[in-house]
Amino acid sequence: MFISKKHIARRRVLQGIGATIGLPLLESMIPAATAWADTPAGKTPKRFAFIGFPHGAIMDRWSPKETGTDFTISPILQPLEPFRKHLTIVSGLRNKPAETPEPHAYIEQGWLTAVKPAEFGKAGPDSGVSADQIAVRYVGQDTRLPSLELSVGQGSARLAWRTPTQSLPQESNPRAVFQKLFGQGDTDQERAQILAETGSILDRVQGQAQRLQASLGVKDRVVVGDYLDSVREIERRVQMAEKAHNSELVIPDAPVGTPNEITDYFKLMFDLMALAFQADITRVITLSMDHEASMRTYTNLSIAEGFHPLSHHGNNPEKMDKLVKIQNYHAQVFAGFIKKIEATKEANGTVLDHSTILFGSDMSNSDRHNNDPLPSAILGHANGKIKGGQHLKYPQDSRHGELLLTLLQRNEIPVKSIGDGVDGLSEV
Amino acid sequence: MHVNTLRYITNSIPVIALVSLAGVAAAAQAPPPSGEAQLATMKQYCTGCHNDKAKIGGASFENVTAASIAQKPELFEKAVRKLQGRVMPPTGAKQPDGKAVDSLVAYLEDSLDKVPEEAHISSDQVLHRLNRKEYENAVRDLLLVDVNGAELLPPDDTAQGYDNIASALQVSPSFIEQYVIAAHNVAATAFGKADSRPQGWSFRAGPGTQLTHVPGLPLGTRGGILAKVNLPADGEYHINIADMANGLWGNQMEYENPLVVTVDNKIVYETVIGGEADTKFFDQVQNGALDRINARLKNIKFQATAGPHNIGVTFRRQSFAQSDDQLQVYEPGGGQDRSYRVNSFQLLGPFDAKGLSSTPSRDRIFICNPTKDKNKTPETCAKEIFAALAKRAYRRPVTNDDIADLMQYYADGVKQGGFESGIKEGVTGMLASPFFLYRGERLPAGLKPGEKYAVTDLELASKLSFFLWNSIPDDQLLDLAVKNKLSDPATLDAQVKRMLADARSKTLASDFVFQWLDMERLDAIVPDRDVFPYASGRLDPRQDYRTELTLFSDSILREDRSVVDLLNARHTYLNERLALQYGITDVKGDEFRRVELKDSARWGLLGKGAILMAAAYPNRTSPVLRGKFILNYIEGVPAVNPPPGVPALNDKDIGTTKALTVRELMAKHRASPTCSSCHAVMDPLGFALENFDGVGMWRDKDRFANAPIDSAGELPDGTKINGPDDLRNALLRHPDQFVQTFVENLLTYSMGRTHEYYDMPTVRRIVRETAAKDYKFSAIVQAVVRSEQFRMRRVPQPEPVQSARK
Repeated sequence: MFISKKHIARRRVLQGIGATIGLPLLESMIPAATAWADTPAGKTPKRFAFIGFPHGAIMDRWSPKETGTDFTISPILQPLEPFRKHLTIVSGLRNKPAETPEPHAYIEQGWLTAVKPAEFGKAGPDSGVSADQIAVRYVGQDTRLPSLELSVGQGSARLAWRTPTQSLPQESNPRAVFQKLFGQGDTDQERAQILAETGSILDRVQGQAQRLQASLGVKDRVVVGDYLDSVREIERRVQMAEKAHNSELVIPDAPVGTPNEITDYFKLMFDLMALAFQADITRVITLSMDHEASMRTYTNLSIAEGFHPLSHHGNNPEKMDKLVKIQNYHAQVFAGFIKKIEATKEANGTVLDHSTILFGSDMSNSDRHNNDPLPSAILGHANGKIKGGQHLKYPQDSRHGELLLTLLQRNEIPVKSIGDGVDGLSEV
Repeated sequence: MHVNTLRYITNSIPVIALVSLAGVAAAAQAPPPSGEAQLATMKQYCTGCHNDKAKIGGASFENVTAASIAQKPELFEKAVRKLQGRVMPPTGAKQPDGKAVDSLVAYLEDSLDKVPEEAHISSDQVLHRLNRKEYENAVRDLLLVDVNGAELLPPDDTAQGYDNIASALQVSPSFIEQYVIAAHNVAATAFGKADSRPQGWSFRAGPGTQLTHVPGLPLGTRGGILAKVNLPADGEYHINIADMANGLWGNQMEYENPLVVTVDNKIVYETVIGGEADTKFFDQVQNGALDRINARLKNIKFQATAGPHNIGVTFRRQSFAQSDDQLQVYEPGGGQDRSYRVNSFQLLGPFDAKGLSSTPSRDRIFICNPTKDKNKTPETCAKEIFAALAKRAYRRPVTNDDIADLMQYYADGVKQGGFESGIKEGVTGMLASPFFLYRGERLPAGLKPGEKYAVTDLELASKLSFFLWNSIPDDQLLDLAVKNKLSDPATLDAQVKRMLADARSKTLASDFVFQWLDMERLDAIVPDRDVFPYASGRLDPRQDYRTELTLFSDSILREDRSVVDLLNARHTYLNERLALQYGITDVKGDEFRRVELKDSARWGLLGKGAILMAAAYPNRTSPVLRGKFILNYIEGVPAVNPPPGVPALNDKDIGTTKALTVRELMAKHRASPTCSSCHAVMDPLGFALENFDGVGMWRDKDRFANAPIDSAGELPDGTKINGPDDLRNALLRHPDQFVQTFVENLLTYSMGRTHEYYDMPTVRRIVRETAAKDYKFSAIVQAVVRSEQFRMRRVPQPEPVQSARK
């Protein structure tokens, strides 16, 4: 009785929170705005997103029956049908070098490295560096944040490896992500006010520093000189920010924290990712939709079992149907992100045109923890270098590393190999 | 500028040649030698290499006379250290006898002390940017706001291991940006906001089990998280605790874990997670069980006022019969708990901001209120408020220009949101001002280049407070300084005494001692789980070791004992966890308390886990690192890095394939003649501590080699030692050598500039003077404060102004 009472109370409160956390971001999101990317004429930005989900997929409902361009969309990927001309489904790949007897602990670490964690760093300094972080070396210097690592849900995921020994923490609190992206101030008005205040602070501290300088010895005056140089540099950046502030891109109010409802949470994170691309704050994003062996319950889909126990379906049709439902749901929230960046125009196309997005998992059949064949889908066109609109099926034991290599090479990143990938997939 | 003279690269194996533990003092106390015999010794033994032709190391002593010492003090200070350390003449060369070396050292020191050298009064840069810790403390003392400097500000560069060296504290655009952001954040926290929108804070538990009481949470609880938070407004706040029903397959549900949420130690919510009903849920209902159990951890509501609060999410401790203990251990160091952890929680709110109650920060700021005090206009009030705050923030009397600046901010703010906003903008501006962020010393007018002068009383007040408190001066210091009374010797002594007695002086332990002993290295030593299952992961003792070292050093300094007691004191501070690491079984509970140590191996710094661990590797002991530690930080004889091309020991050999003891490995290493000459000196110091394993626990046996620990060795003077007691007693035979190292470091920390050769006469003088006072800590501090290094400055030579940035 105690519990059900609590339940009612919770639902009522959620409506309240929904109004403050969810809606501003979810519904009033950016119409067809123009992205802020400020790249030299004739050059379009190169963007990457790597979006992983745990526990693989029910493969015969992930992969379409037909290959080539004329395929019927599969039940799990159904929500991506509106974007099929941007979609490349890649079937049949195996991440053999990352296979380990440890079922969950290491599996996500091998997804973007194509190396098993115990062998990170052994085959060379870049063995064990993840594909996203290799991309950062080439596209990370043009934006304020070189990359953004995110996860949805409690528990830690480790997809992104900057070096063979350093994994990057993935932020799961939308409020913290927002502040990373847009700085202080919860509302547009507050941010404008803080910008103006910062402007006048920078103005006045210069006068104060000059007063301070007058009474000092020679070497100390040099220090104040450096200080003044730095102040002027920040003043310049603030002016740029003020200019950007007046652009047509609408930044929503800061989220309060992590929503309790999973759909609100997913939408919020994907919206922040879309904003980060649109505002050109970063060009590389890595997201874990959940961590391996998660006990999340999808009560929004009327599935009350924990995700992980359910994933050991034992070929029970009822359980497999539930898993398909969850996997389809993941594709659905992901499709919301694709919709937003497809709607965002910039020079020479849309943000989606200039993006390379991998949506997949490093597990195949979760009941057996195997890594063959992996579910992988590419969205976006890498500035026209990825055709899209096809389902490719590769023969048994084709290498997952080739896919990672292909995604980078199509973006003119001069990398020769990733894990066991050395040739690339010419058909993509 | 010695920005790059960073502390010796800690991971390399240092090479140091013969070091005498027979210190300076024995010789120094004899009457000063005449010189001829000593210079003859030098000519006889040194000029084989250091002659005008070969000039090895750039030094020649071929025609050395008494006058050469005064001409080249830097060279001769170097020679003193080499001789004191018995590094020169090198192993294999003809050696003078010990007495001749002592006599030469005494002669050189005596001569150097008489050199009329004035470089120690610096004309170098003294403008200090507040570092992270100083900023944290300053904001606390100014506005009663607790902030985490590491979250607000970029990391500071260090020089010679210290983070307060003026020349290393450079500034870059990102510093400016973050200082401005920090100013906004600190002001927002201090003021609160009557109509605040809901915000969110996340709190995460540190590693470790949650079986013991967390200090600050109510007694009778175990584990959990205590969050100190400064709420922006009065209103309703919500807490969401991370899911607890998330074990694979939902096991571990069978035990009741009574959970409580407390606000300022009052229970606002209680529930029970686990137990019969929840287990049945899992077994029989399944569907929805997880969600319905975890729902009890969400949307916990409470009302709170603005300002600082302690929010606790914790468990009621159960009786012994119910047992909170670990159920079973199925992996080394791990186990299946029947007791849950609070991994994290989120605080959200205020959802219906109802205004602002008074808070300590607001009371500190709003000393004048125009709505209550009808005689005062808002402008008068604003000026009054700014004058009081800016005096402390800028650490000097406030000028008309200062007030004019702040009133401009005020005017901007008033337009946005009235009086409150005006004051808030002014305080933000004050925190971003270079007058707050920099402490400088004014150059008096009318002096010639090279002339020396004493710093003003106001500058002295800041120097004292940043030295002893790592923070801004209080009103008492400032008021004395304004009246020019602080520099009066009796007043100064009294103020130093008062400041040392104040709680704020604990930064001398937590900052100075930690930097002197390079305890930052401890952060990098993550104990290896496979080798130390009993002291890694959630049993990692490092945080407790840090607490112990802070409390132990603070006790020596605060009780004004001889600093030599740092090496020898028989007490320490332990809680149950740490006591068990030390093999002491009668200390119960989580609070640290003073414990008299029966086991003499644990006396003094060299028996402390923090030091034993910081001078080891994550997976094994290192007699070399421990030997180097003793030389560097206890004896003050800097180790030299090994010549290029020396391979490190292969860790893979340790205890795995070949199962050699560390001693056997080192013996292999020393087989090389290049290594042996130096390691022969350094290693015995470290071997004496071999009974302490890599995580500072006592052992009689090397578990992997299955061989007893051999801690015997011979010091350069022929003394045979075996174990920590012998080592400590050998060091204590020459306490002045340790005191000299301590004074050198304290002087560097107090000046905020790098240590140079010309500081040595002062260091030696302080050691000599304070010997009569039994090297009492306060006597050493008084001597440092009275030193010319601390009190005097010189007018710099004019130089063309150029950017210091490389």
